[in-house]
Amino acid sequence: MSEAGPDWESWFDATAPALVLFARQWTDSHADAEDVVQEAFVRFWRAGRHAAEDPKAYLFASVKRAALDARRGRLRRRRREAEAGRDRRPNEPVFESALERDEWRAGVEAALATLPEGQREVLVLKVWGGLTFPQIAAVLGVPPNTAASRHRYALEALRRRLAEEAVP
Amino acid sequence: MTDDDRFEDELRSLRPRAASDAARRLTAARLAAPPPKPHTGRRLAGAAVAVSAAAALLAAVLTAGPADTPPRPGAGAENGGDGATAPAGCDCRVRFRRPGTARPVRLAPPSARGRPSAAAPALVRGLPGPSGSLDPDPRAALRS
Repeated sequence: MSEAGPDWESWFDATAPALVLFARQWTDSHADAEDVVQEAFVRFWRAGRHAAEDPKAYLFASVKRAALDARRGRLRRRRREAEAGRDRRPNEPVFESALERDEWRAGVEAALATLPEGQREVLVLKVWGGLTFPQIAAVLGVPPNTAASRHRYALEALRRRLAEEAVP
Repeated sequence: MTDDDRFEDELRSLRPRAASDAARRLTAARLAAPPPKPHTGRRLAGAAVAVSAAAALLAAVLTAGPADTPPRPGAGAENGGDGATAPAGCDCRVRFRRPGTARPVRLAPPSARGRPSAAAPALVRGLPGPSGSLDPDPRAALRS
């Protein structure tokens, strides 16, 4: 029995970029984030999409769980690689941008990296994931007001950081 | 529109990198494949359910009382029969013993196992009793 069809493809195309961006917070590379998203998406499509009250929020929550699981394995692997003296992969961009906006993209990525994890994940879910505050609260297991305040703090910090970078 | 909204729109104009074609192909392949076998934990849970069901069945069989089986010949009223029909010399007490195992061993009282109890030193000829004096021959006491 095949579960593949246009249904899953439209779901995947609509959500995968934001899911990969969300997973990138806990992964070293775009490829690792894709693996995490693939794992979570397959599990979601087989079981979660019918059971979940809010499938989109459930999918983001599944990605976070899978990313944290993968990070635990990666930390063990990193220790082995450090012992073997191997080099780490360089950081890859998380956004697509035209050449003329590449500086802006790099600035936003650098500023995002400085945010506390709680603020960064709320910002990613709200801005690029398109989730509402109640949905974000469900994904992260926090009250909606906490999600809203984290979002506000994240925007302030990001704007301040980008302004500092703009001043020579 | 607030400054925050404008800034958010500006951020949203940055598009997250799309998933690669390879990720899409792998996802399609995994969804097309049959789902994996149940996790070992689930199989263990299934086995545990089967074992508990078997144990419940066994317990039900073992605890089935006189209402389920006719009373043994000669059984007393407390065991579902009428003691009046007990044949002469029949031991009417119900004994539970697993088939194929040895009969329960009835232990003799301590005084008959070579260890005289403190209450019966007088039965041992020639030893002093609790009073310290030699007890008389018990057979002589019986004869008198």
